[in-house]
Amino acid sequence: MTTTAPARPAAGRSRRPSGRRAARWPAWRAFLLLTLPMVAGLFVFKYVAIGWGFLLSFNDARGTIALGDWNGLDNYRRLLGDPAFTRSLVTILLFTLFIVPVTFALSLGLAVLVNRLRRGRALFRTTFFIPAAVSYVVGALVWKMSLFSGTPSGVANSLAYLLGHDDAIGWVAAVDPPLYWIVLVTVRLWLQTGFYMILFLAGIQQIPAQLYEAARVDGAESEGRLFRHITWPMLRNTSVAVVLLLIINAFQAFDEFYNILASNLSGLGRADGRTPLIYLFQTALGEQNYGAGSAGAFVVTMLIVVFTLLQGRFAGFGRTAEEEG
Amino acid sequence: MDRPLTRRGLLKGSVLFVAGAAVSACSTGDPLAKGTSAPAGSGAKITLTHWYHEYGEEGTQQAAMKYAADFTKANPDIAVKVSWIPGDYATKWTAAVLTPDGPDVYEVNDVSPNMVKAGQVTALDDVLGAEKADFNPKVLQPYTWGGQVYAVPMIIDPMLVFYRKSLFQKAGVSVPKSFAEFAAAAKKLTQGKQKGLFVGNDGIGDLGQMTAWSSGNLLVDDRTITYDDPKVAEALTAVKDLYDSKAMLQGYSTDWWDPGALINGAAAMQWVGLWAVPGLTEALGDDFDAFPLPPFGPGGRAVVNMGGWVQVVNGKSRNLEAAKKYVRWLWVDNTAAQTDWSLAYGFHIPPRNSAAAKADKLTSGPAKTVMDAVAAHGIKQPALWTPEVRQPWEDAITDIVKKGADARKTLAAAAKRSQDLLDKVPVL
Amino acid sequence: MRRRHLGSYVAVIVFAVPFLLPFYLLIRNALMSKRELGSLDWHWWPETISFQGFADAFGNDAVPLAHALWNSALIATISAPLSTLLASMAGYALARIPVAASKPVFFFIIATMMVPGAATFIPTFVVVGSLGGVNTLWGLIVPGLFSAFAVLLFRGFYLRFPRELEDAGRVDGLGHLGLYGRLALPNSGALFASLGILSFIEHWNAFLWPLVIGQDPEFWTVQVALSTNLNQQAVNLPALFAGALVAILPLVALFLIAQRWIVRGVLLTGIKG
Repeated sequence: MTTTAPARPAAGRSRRPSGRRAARWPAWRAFLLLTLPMVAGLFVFKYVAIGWGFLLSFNDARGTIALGDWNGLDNYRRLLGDPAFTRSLVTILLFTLFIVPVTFALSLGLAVLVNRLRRGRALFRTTFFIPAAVSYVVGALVWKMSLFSGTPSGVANSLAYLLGHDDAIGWVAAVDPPLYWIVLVTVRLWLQTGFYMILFLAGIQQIPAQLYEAARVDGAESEGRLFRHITWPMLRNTSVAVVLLLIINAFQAFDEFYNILASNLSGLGRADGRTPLIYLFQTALGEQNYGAGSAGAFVVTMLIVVFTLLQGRFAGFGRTAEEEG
Repeated sequence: MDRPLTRRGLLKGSVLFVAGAAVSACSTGDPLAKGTSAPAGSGAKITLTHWYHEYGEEGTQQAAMKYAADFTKANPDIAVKVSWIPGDYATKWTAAVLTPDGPDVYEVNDVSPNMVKAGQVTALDDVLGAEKADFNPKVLQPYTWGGQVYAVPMIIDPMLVFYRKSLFQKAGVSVPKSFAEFAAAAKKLTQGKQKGLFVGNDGIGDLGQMTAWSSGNLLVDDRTITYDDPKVAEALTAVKDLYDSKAMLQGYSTDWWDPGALINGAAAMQWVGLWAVPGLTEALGDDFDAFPLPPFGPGGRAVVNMGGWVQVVNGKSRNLEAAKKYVRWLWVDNTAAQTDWSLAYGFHIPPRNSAAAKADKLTSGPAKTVMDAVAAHGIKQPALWTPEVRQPWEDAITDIVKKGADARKTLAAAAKRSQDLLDKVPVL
Repeated sequence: MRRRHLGSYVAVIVFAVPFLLPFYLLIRNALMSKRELGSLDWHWWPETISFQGFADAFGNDAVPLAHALWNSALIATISAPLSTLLASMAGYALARIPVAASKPVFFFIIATMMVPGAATFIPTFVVVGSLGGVNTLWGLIVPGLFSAFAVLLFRGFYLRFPRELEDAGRVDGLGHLGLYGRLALPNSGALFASLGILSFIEHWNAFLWPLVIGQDPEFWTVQVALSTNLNQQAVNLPALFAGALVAILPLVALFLIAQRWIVRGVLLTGIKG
């Protein structure tokens, strides 16, 4: 199904004479007309933005977004000297280390499971996929105010009562032990698992049936062996893509952290569960320090870019589910 | 050759048309786009935008809009558009005032030197005029920089501990005179589904800062951070013990500023403001009262936090004079509106001494208790305790209270950071 | 064999329950009265079904939900086709118009894909703010219109566009723009629909950017309005859930009706072709 591979096919650059003739003015004009909006848009909202933000990160920009009050590396010093920022990086790292394998395993497991169904496959596929239609805000709202609310009638607390725990647990507020992680991890699992299950399901369905038949002839009967020797290796590309997408999305977590954890009218959330993006939001919009905020944005961006480049294949993974706009 | 040419022309036209339509839809074609001039139909030449945070009490939004309409009636060439901003008001106004199109008039809790320097506020001495002497000086002081006042106080919001008299009686608890008694009361009042104390859904709320104040340390003294102090460490350790005792309500459906938890009996004591008195009276009759947070330790003092809102005028406003005129009309001249705003919905103390003296509704019942407590123990947060300076302290509280970090060490490190941030605040 | 299938069904149903539970909660809570939902005891279903939550959600002066829904609808319906069209135009030019600038422009575009979208919200805010885009509709829409990734997908698609069709068009006298508008664009409907629907979903559900750029209630999207409901002074629980239910209905309907296209889009964007 992934047939739109932008492989560089033979059809690419034509060497026919018409090619040369077309390269004159009308071709240029058409090229400009068609690419200009995109190029201009990306120029302003990516290149200029990042360049400006980078310059601003060397400015004392408190209460302003204008350049002019240069202060060298002060913002970077403030940022890296702030345990809250370094802690936010550790927080997101731990979150990523946890949410990525769990989502991966769950979505792959569900894909295998759904694929094995003879009837009702579409029904269950839809069941697992439909949470992807829900926004992080709505997910956070249900989790915070109903599933894991601190009142005795919350779903989790009602279950806890059934299990003999007769004290209402403040799931979101509990830091020690950090029960709020259960809330944050499960909401993201619910929202994103279906999306990745679809990817795995498509990958599985692309595996030629003959492979399994041949393996069975060779005596590999058990499901586990078939999975290990055929399904898993054949899903390699899908798996790599899924892991990358999961990591980049996890690293930019904001929506559910903001909506579940912020418990203040001031909007300045608390130390625990503060992700880098929440930290930046507070620094820039809460404390009006756009210099430090830009420095932080640059650091976080570089971390993601370096990571993506390390993977050696940056094409196709810059996009996130909640790309701005 | 004729036909294809036409076709090509048509096509080019249509592509351009689509792009053009789209662009104009984004910029001007939309009926909802913010009007830059006066709204159609009214004869006003100028439209001011005026932002409020959300006051929880019913009728407040309508009242704010009525004041604005009354102003336009008196000044037909100036219309006022009231924007009511619920939720995370602080980050919303901060983003909006960065741009040339921010609100002309808005309300804040604090005015920092950075805001003055960035032109987000403007000096309002001429707006206060001769009436300046009538404003509570305690409340005017934190908004004064370089000898100029940058805000007109709208309301004073004292915050303290409210409690249910009947629940105190049932548990045999009397109004605590020390923090130790306070903590013991909270534990004693925790019975079944009822918790002893509610200070915020995160379990700490303002209690950390207030308890530190009650130990006699205001955390910052002019340009010096003072909270690296054994007394403060002791106070926070006591808050931690209280937190650990499971006597505090957490994760309730409304937060501390709403008296819901007290009304529904989810907690027997709650940290909340004077504004809640009408709602409490309606729901509980006279089954409630208030007391200041009792002193912590020997050198301590009782604490009533004097919060509140002040009106500022955006220094970048295109209609500075009109905005000033409006603020003077509403918050200085129009004593009827001020009284209405302070007393007809939630209760607040009018910032003008003459108005406060005439506030009959505040002279009886729990409101009087609050007023007396304010007179004796009211503390106004120091001006330089800005959100940025405050952040390390707030993180330290979480670490100490919720995670059992070493109080002395944590405070020392945080105080150093706060001091660094404070040193960067410009001197005006 | 039969037992194994039975096992699969049992397993899949066990997993399906927690996936459906939040939807049940949304509906139950939206139909409850304030008192019942606020009570300390568990109820499976409202004693009497109440629509007061919906009335409150739309009747709240402080959070203009209907207007926020309108904003979201407007933003998503403008953004989805427009961003897809812009990507298709650029993709076509890069794939099919042989000019010397083609390669540098291509790299100029795809280089932006390395930069994560959400992480750069502060620089984007700085630029859009300087251009006067705070609290404007264009500030909400325009920065989200440019997807390098969609350009890449369209370019890949047009590279494989049959050359014979184009040659025929050229014989007919069509220039590059004609070939694009008359042949290429009409023949990329499937890709257009898939990416367009995904873009619609993305814009409808976007939160961080609208939160940052639209502070005035007049420019709130439905997600910002819901988030505000959650942080209001006094949370009205049934109204909160009723609003959320209304907000997800369009997308749930879209998922049920157009799932084929959505799945296609997910596969295209999820896995690098």
